[in-house]
Amino acid sequence: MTSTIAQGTHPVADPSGSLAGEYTVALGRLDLWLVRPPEERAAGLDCSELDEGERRRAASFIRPADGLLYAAAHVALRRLLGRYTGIAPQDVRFVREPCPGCGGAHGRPAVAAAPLHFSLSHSSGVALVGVAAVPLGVDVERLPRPEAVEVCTPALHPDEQAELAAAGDAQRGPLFGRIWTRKEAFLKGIGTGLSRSPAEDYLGVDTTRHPSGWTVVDVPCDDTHAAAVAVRGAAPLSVNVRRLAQEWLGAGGGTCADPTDQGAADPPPTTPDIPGERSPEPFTTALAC
Amino acid sequence: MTANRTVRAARPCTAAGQVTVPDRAALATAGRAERTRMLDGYVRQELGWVLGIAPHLVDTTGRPMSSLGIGSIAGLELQHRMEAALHVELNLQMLLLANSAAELVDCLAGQLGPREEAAHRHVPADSA
Repeated sequence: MTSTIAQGTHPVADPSGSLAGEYTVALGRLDLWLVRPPEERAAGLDCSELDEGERRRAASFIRPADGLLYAAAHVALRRLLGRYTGIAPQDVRFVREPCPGCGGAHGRPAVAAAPLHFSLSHSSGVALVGVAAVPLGVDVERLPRPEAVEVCTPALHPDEQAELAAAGDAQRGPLFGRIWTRKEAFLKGIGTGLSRSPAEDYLGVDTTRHPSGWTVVDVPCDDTHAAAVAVRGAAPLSVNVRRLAQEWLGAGGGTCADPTDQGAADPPPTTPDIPGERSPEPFTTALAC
Repeated sequence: MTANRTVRAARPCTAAGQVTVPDRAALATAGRAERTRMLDGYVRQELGWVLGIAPHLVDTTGRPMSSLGIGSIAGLELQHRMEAALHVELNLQMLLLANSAAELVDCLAGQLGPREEAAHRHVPADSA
């Protein structure tokens, strides 16, 4: 099944603030966090909790903006996972689950000894973190150029190719983005990643033909990106999409031990439109710290 | 030596506006070092085209593909452009996880060399 979360303003959340109770991992619950890097690293990004490998990797990008996004995404990931698990962000230890194909230690990334699943994706200025009690995969991609869509379309499932061929010029890029992010989210969820052929699974317009046993949700983030999440099992009872406050990426942002309610105005809640047997809750609203 | 082919590339960010594909016969008869040199130039052009930067700015030795800015869609585009141009098979996952573009060049040099060399260096299209 695939659903679309209703377009709306995602609440801005500062997890160091009054949201301590929101870091709950429970069956039927899916938390999604949209992250944007600060405009200048020096002004707003505290990388002190990253490990040596993450820092080296952040410094390796040929385009500084890519490195900034990588660093921001991993600072956010560590701080969020720290909140969910009660582990200090710098002490969150990542491991790899067994590969579903060969059993080797290169499957889905996981947090050692933590009863949760997470997934991370970043592309061109936007990162997306998903946290749930069940295996999941997230993907966010900048919408591709028309030339890229033309070159890449033959790699997709034949019926997805037909849908793209039938789409108008203006719709083709966004449709490709939706199909691709659903597909990559699903492949990350099942743990194969892109070692499984993109032509293998259908994730096109007809949601009734999507892979069984998984729920795939389109996540609107902005006009230039497509995003999706795939979670194992039935549609989540609640899908909470929040935009991480940039202030939380700075020094002290992830270590606020005494959350206080400094209630800024709540943005209007939006409701995920997930057809299914169970009615989803409205988005969780959040307070900016 | 047979003349190289050129593939139209409309992106203005490419220095010459087009990608020059080395001739397969020339690649097959060239020594390993020369073949690698020819393919390095070609891969630089393709990466430059996909990334929107000049080919000479592409670092082929010091950075993994992801650090060059090759995400999944760009990797898929790169895979299909090179497969179509060189009539080779590339594994998308391996392309995305390559430690450097030089690994990709080496893979191509293995496939496009003499038959006996290619037989030992073939990279499957899909490993799982």
